[in-house]
Amino acid sequence: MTMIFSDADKAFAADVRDYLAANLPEELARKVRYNQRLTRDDYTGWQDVLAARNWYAVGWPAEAGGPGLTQTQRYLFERAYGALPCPHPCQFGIAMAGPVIFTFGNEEQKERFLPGIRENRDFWCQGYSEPGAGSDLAALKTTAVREGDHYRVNGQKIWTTWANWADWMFCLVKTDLQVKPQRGISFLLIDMRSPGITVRPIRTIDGDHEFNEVFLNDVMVPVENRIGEEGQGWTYAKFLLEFERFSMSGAARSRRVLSEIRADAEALGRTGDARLAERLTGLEIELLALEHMELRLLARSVGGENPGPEASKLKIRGTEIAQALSRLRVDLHAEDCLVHSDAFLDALEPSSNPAAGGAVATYLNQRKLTIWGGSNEVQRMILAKQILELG
Amino acid sequence: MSHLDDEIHMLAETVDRYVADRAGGRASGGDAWTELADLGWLLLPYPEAAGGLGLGAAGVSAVMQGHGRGLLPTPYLPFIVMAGGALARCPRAADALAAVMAGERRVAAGFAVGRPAAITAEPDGAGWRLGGTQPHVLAVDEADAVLVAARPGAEGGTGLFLVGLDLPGVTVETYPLPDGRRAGRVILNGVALPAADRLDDGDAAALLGDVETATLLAAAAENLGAMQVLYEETLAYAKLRKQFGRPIGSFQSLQFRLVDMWIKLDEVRSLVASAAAAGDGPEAAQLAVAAWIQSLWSGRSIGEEAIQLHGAIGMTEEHAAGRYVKRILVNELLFGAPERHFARYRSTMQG
Repeated sequence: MTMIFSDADKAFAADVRDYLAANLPEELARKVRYNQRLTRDDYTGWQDVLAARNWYAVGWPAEAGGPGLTQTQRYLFERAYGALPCPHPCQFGIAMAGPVIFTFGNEEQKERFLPGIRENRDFWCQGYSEPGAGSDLAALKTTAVREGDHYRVNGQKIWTTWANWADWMFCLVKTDLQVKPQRGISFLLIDMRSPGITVRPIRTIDGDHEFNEVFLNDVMVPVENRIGEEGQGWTYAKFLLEFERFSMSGAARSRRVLSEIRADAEALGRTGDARLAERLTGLEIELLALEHMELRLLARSVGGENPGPEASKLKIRGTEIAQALSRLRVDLHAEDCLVHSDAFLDALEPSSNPAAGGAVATYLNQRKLTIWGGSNEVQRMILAKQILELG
Repeated sequence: MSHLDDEIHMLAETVDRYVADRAGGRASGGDAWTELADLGWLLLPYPEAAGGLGLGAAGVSAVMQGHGRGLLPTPYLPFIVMAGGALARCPRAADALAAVMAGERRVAAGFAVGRPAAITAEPDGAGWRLGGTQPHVLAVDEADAVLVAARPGAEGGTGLFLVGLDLPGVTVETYPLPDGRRAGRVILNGVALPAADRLDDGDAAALLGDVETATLLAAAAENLGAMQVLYEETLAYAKLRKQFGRPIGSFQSLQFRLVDMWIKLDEVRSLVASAAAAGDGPEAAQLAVAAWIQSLWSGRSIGEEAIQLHGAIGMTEEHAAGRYVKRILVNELLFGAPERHFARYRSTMQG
């Protein structure tokens, strides 16, 4: 299965590649290459570079102020982007809040929120998971009780990535406790500076801080911050699961990581290591299968078909391959990975082998890939039920 | 039950109590190494003729499983199994071994499993002059001396030298390992030693090979203790955690994965137990290397599954899963991945 890209599409891909390469700061590229910790400024500074070409909200249609790329261009963008050591852009505004707002919000809401997201002025986080509701969002407990023109919100969110940096949180809340759980959920936009919000950091096993708990204690949210109908939040959340399906595989990024590991192996004089060569080749073939699954799905989409939940297969294989690569990097650098300090992500200890510095932390951090974004178990459940029709 | 079995059984119970006391915060607050000395653990592996308890690999295995279960920070493996194990095999090291067994001397291990000696020793008058850098010396910041393997000048082979860390020309740079334990680089810059501080009998290569095998078994036992906790915690969580209205452990796909964890744990337990019981028999080395390799295969899989089945909570620093996963991973980085030991395994099957 080969895609033949038009000359216009090829020119677009070249434009993306050239612009990103010319504007990616060397220091930032080095941080990404060596798996160092990025700051909020690293992300927002880079997102400004993207926003300058309207490529931050790269998946948005023209009506929403986005670049209105075709699906093929969207794919080519991801491929060019992943090939360079660019930071993975923060997704919660552009890939989640934005699409729900431009699909289900009213005109006033679109005018109020979309420019801030598109132009990278507002930092967003996602208030979905709760202590008792991870994979099972129907078990949400955070309540929003209508009081005049406000909702009074009480509850707790957890695993809220970058709540500590966020200006806004889009949030699933229960507005009706009487009906079936799926019917009583609403979608609220909450200003993170509202009184009654407390953010508590959760440190992860790699020593990083990106997850948080968010406590909502009598937080008053104006009714005009509700997107769509009361009680329809479940529908909007499900809609998001199928949006942006082409960024799910991470194939381009994995291909870059694979070539980095190859370069590291060469620098370490390990090109003659047959076992290592076998593993690299094996992973490359797995990656090739992923890329061609993705291309085939793209061809069907371009042909007007909606592959729907089938994109879950890309999430499953993409995250498994990314994890295997992070493991291979640890195996390659072996005892060099031992020189590790709490500060190593911010400032690498002088070492003859900088690629080893972040290898263990990355391996540990990447465990999240098969857990978040709908765990791989949930993705398999979706495929079993909806594609294989196993009840 | 033999007399030895009785003693090992009693030791295992003591280890369990010690680990439970530590976990419950009921530790004495005193120096952990002195506690280990008081418990008799510092002398338990060594032959009775040398003043030890003669419990060998079986005793070490019981203590190391406790280190894994309780993630104990005490450097039993490098000080007692590695450095002490080498001293016990050197005919001229009786005094140094006695001091180690009494807890009076803390000797770190200046040699790595499966790596040639990083230090060189040049003859210097009647003595030696040592130079070079030994990386990743476990718990060197708790030691007062280091037993280094060095290549002595023109004569070839490997020598073992006891180097006081307060000697002129010795520099130690310490750093934390990814699991929170500490290690250091020992840099020797023309360190002068009297002839008497070379402890081996001409070539230490063979005895170091035996020490490496003992080290791999001890580390396998520690991994076993750690993955036992990972398995138990995950099983308990699967019975407790509810999603979609029922415990996640009631889903068949998760049941299968937990059963696989249980089998992988049992594979390690079986090899560690047999290797520990094999004493100095012909199969002992083969079983020890196999136990190490299997402990990494099982450990990776059990560790990754433990985090995955816990979900995001398993990713947090607060939760114990990550600490156990890191202990097993750091052991692998210190003592070598499975593939690095295949040749060693094959060599144990010859002759």
